[in-house]
Amino acid sequence: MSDAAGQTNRTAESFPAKASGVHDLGGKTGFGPVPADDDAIFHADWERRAFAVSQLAQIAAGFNTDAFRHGVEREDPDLYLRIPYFDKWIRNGERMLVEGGVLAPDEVSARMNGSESTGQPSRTTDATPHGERGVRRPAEQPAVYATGDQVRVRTDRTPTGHTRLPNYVLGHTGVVERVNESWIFPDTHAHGQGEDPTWVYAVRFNAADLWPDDHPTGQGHTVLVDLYEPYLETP
Amino acid sequence: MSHDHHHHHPEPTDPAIRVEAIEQLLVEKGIVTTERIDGVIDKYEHDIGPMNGATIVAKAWLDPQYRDRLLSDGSAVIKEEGFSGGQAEHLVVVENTDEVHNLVVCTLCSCYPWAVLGLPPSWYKSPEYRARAVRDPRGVLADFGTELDEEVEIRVWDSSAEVRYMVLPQRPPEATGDTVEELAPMVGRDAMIGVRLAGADS
Repeated sequence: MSDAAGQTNRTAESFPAKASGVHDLGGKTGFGPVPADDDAIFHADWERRAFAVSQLAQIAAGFNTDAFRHGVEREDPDLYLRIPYFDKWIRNGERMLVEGGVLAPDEVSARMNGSESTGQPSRTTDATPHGERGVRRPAEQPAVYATGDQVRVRTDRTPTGHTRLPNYVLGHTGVVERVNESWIFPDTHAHGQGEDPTWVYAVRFNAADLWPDDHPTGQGHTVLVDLYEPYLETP
Repeated sequence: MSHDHHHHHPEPTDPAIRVEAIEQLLVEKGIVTTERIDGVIDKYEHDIGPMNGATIVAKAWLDPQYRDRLLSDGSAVIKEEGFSGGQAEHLVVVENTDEVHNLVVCTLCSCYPWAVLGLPPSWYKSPEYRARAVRDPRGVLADFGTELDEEVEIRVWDSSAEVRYMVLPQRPPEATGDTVEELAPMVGRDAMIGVRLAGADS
């Protein structure tokens, strides 16, 4: 498959690790109360610099935001939940620079240890930037669903790469609340497999359907999830 | 990628040292300049922030036509205001009423309407919030000291694609001014995420 610039791209196999899924947190229990008092944007100067350096690293490595998000998702699952947010960012900044062939695999660790790097930079993926055009694109086909339609979230897709389909809605039926334009498809774009613009729908689910034990009366709140058309089927 | 990545129980290294090492390498190789790094930080710390969102909420409280346009085409309104870019190519503003209360989360990462609210607070990015907001929103609201009537329908928006959501909070009774300058300070960031009511955290 090729991207908008006509480059031929390799597949997800060229990434060294797959996402563990630990980042897919919606609906998981036992995490305890929200740390509502921890409302700082940055806690320390290194977090400020990590924020900027990670993004500039992504750009220097020639990657798009979907590839960046997938990079964070490939954090070691043992670390994902316990290291600071911007630590995940800067570790991903390093991942982007190494996978993009900007830095040798041992270059950052050598610098941190005060030793000399012996490796060579080598690009290991062909994921692409999306440049200044943003990520909204016209789709080739009209939207399959309209506001008010019932849709079911498919269960026959089992991606091991990047996806924006949260597990907690798998197999559930909801109603299209709004058609939210068409966009680059993250599942392909993160892997350099093309932009594949697709429609996005805000789909409304009943919490009582998603988590029946929480709502014995059948009455609960509403959850709206933005879902790309390939995730959906007609029930 | 660091070589400890494949160890069974990796221990993280001090992230400040990693940031410094990467910054040094990129600057030495001429890939980025320190000024460019400082510029990115400065933009997101000073030029954008919840005052942008508070301004449009205050305008919506004062002008019903503005409110209608904000709810029907939030992207057009923020473009007019000059707030476009930064994770808000498509902004959808959802309105709180006596019957409906909206709450915004990103369960998969930390998507947030940067153009109108700036960068997200730490708790928004926490596993606790990301896990629980979709499943137990009343419990999450209680963590912020926010209590709603049992009859109010709670609608949780999971920002799982590129659309960004912002809440238009209800105008509190104490917000009696008739100018944007008087009203905007009543609109706290947390009210535009939906974890508090306007006035309560301002």
